[in-house]
Amino acid sequence: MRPADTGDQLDTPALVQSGAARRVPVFTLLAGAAGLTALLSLVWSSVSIPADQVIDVLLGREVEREAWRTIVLDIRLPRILTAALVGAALGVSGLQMQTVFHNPLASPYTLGVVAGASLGAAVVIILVPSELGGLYRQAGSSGTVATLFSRFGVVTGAALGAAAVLALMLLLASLVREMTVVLLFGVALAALLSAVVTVLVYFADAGQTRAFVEWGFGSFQRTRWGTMPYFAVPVALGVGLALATVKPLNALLLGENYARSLGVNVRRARWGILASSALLAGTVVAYAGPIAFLGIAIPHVARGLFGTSDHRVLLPGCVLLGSVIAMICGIVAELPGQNLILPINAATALFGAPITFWVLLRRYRAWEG
Amino acid sequence: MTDGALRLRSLSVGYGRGRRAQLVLSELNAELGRGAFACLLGPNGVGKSTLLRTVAAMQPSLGGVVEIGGDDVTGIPRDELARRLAVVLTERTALRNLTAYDVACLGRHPYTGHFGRLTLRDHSVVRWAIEATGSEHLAAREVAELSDGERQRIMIARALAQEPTLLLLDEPTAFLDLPSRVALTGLLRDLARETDTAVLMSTHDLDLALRTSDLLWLVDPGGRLSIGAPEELALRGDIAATFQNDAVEFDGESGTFHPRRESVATLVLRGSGQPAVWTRRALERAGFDVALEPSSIEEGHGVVTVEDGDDGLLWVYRDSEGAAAEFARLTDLVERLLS
Repeated sequence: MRPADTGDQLDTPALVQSGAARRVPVFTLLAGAAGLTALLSLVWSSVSIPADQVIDVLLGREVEREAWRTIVLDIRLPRILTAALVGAALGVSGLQMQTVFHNPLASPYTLGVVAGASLGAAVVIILVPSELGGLYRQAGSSGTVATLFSRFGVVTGAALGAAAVLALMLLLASLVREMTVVLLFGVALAALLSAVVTVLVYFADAGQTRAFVEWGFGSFQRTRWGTMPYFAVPVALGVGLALATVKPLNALLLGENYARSLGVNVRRARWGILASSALLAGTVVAYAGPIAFLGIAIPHVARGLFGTSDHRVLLPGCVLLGSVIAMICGIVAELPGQNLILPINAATALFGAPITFWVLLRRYRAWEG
Repeated sequence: MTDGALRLRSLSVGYGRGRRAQLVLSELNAELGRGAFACLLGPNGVGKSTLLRTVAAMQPSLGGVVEIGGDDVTGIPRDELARRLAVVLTERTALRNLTAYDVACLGRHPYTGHFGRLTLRDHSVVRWAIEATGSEHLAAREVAELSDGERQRIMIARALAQEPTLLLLDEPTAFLDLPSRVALTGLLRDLARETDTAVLMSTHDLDLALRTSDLLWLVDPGGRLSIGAPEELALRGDIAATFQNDAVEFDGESGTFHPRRESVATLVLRGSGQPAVWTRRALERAGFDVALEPSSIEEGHGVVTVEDGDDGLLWVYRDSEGAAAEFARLTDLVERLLS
């Protein structure tokens, strides 16, 4: 007996469809939620602009105040797009990390990528003389050439830091067979880099310290239309690369030995996964700061929502869910109606942690002894 | 492809490379045809896993050739190898949020395109694999909820979905309870025949291997590989030679191992059927050598008779002087004999 059309005892179409029956509505729901949150965050923000006026701006009609046009098109839109991209990137990156390390706690932080970016940012903010534009002190007075230049400097520093750590981790990943060792190395490296940052901050003056701390809060507002391509293109590239790793990621669910036996070139797959993951995380940290929590939380919530570990579903799922959650965090941070803006890092944890608790409890209570 | 699904030609396996290479087994020659179920047996640490890993191309050989389907494995591309060879390992993988059916689908990996999309034919192969392993009732369940035995069954279905000509299993029954081991081993033997697959499984279940496998691959402590039908190897004394040591001896009559012990005395046993079998086991466990009636050594030894009385079984013990005693319970008899 070799595979042929055997009897119909097992209803395969039903089995396949029962999965799809759950996925299609969830995707539809998420897409709807993405559109809705995007609209809400256009309307709901620190400066209150009537909803119909926002729509008029979007449609290019006349509005009561010309300033609103600028606020909606040049401040809110890029901020929302940034939030969506940050969420998508961190969700995908976290998903890849968790699978490749076989560890539910793995995230871009674990690889040391975020720590590397922080060190890069700290070096630029604290060590580069302010005449060269390295300083990030006058963050409030936007628009000046110096501030723009300083932002670019911090981004470059963070990107270089992330890239350096990435290169090191990739080298290690191709030398070491055991992924746990790579993970431990990442944790140790993150501790080391954070210590260096602490030392730098300790010797910095008050203004520099403040600038660095502010960078560390995270923000979706540092990208304008002018810099958007430098942010959006690497994120798109990273997601595209990640899509190509979907098949080996699924095989890796079984562990590296089984993946190898299924014909996966594990070393190459690992490289591709880490490269796209770090590109995503590095870009995010460079532009939005070290955004906490989303990288760990989004993949878990996505698994709970879709009820599967299949990366063909989870990866697009994390893109959508990540952008929705990050946009909601953006709204929470704006504290609509108040003249106060919370750090994004506080919002992601305040909003993300309870959702994660809920999903995890609901999903794993049944058989987690 | 030739008939030989697997052929080893003067294969040497071990660790390391070059001068620092550590040879574990060397000059192995063997062949396994499709449809055959073979068990790889040997004492712990003799190199069974190393051999399986080398055959599966998971580690390089230190000499010689492994041929799968007539081709040297080192020359077979990854994807093609995964279509000829599937493995099931001891390790328990922590899988979540996947149904058993999803896991079996992963076996189609070497046949699918870039994004791993399954065609109708892929699904029908997976369905076949699940039916062949008798796990239809598990298909829709979460793998995280399955017992160890059920999960290994699904891992075997996943391996079958690769449509391999050779299936290698490294102690797949290690974590299972006895009934699951028996069931899984029986399943593998049937699969080998029904799916025309060569199956090679390493195991420590000697007894089970002796009863189910078509062939034994026996690695003795000296690293010599003997291959043959279980009965042949038992008669040649190879099994005893491989596993016997100061603490354990092989009983060629029952095909089982006993702890080695000093004999207390010799007894003659009269009786038949199950009562005689279990009485004998009780006496041997208590340290007696037991000779069955009719026996040439009756003179000068105690005689135990077991018979079906009106109120159940009855044991009679007559010592060498002729004094007799009756016992209604086996344990009472043994207690008396030992006192």
